[in-house]
Amino acid sequence: MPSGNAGSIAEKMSQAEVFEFVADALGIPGDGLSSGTLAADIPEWDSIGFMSLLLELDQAGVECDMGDTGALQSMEGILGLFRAAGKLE
Amino acid sequence: MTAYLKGVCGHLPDKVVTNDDLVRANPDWDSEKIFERTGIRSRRVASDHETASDLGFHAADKLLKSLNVDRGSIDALLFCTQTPDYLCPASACLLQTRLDLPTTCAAFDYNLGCSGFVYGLWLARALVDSQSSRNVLVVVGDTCSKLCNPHDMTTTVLFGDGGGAALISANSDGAIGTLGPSIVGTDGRGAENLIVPVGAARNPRTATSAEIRTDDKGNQRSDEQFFMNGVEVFNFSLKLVVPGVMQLLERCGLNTSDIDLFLFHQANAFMLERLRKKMNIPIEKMPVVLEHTGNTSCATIPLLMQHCQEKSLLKPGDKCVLAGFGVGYSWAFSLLQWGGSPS
Repeated sequence: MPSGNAGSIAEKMSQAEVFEFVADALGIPGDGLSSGTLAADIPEWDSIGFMSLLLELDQAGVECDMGDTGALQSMEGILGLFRAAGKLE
Repeated sequence: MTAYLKGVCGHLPDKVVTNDDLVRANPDWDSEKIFERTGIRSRRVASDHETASDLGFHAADKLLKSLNVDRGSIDALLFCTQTPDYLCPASACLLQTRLDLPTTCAAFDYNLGCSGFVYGLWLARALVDSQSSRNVLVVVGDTCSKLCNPHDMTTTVLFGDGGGAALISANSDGAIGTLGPSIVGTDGRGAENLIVPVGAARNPRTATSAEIRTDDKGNQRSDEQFFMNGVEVFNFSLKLVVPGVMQLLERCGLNTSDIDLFLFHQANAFMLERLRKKMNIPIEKMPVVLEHTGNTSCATIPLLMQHCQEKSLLKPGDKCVLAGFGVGYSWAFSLLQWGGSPS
């Protein structure tokens, strides 16, 4: 199961820190992610992984609007959510 | 006028489908993993000829017998289902006769899922409060398993079948609870995320609509079967359930710490645990009882309330929040005080 400890984040994150944040939410090592990673590439990035990510993003104040969870399908999409929230360096 | 809860009852079909049964039909699934991720080990499933109204009937009949109610005193029957016996007439009309209720009894169906039981309590309270009715029977039942493809992990592992019933009355004699304020709401933008796309008027069945397709995760379903976008539904729950419950508490002048039990729709254990943590609710205040039933749609809350009664988890004066939310999207949250009148 994901660790669920990805919650508290600094005001802004570097791209590498976002990878770490996502890896924490999915319960996987951080070095397996890049900006090109897709959900389909990572077995743990399944339905439960999506929900863990949503919860952690919610707690971190990174908004994923209803109807917009397609952004969670890729690392690029998640970086976009951080960017839109003004939380990406 | 105050509306009292006279009793509540659930009913489950006999047939059991275990995770191992599902794995036998889907060898690449993992029984323990299904349990870890849903909190469900088995679910009850209606037989081929068993309908939602059958499940609702048994719950209501059991309830009326246990309360020794004069059936002639029931003046409204509300039946919630997404899986009616017929397109028409309303299953509530069939239940009126089957339950031996008087012909003076109003009876109608309403089509909601997981919010349906709490919605029914809201409506029953309004009927009593307006003095339109004195005794309202709220009956719920769903056979969602019949809508799920057995090879679709997003639905078939979650859903079971069940029924429930509650009697709401203007008469406080023998009441076990008092209905408090409610908040109900709707966001139809989420309709596409929990849907059976084909089979009714908008998209009638065609020669090809029953064809089974496989999605990119290997799940199989046709357009005549239940589709669920679990991630969107979870996002809805995070965005609307928590603030909605908080709004109810604020309206009642209460804090989460004032509530003795949070009786939430039993969607799946993962979602309930996340909602519980987000709301900082102690684990003992949010019972989870879907391990051997699955998500029974509108029936989860009456089944949960029955469980709480049987386990003596409810004491006179306890304040409970009932929370139903799901397909639609639709939601209903109500305050219930166990025993006497609310303070």
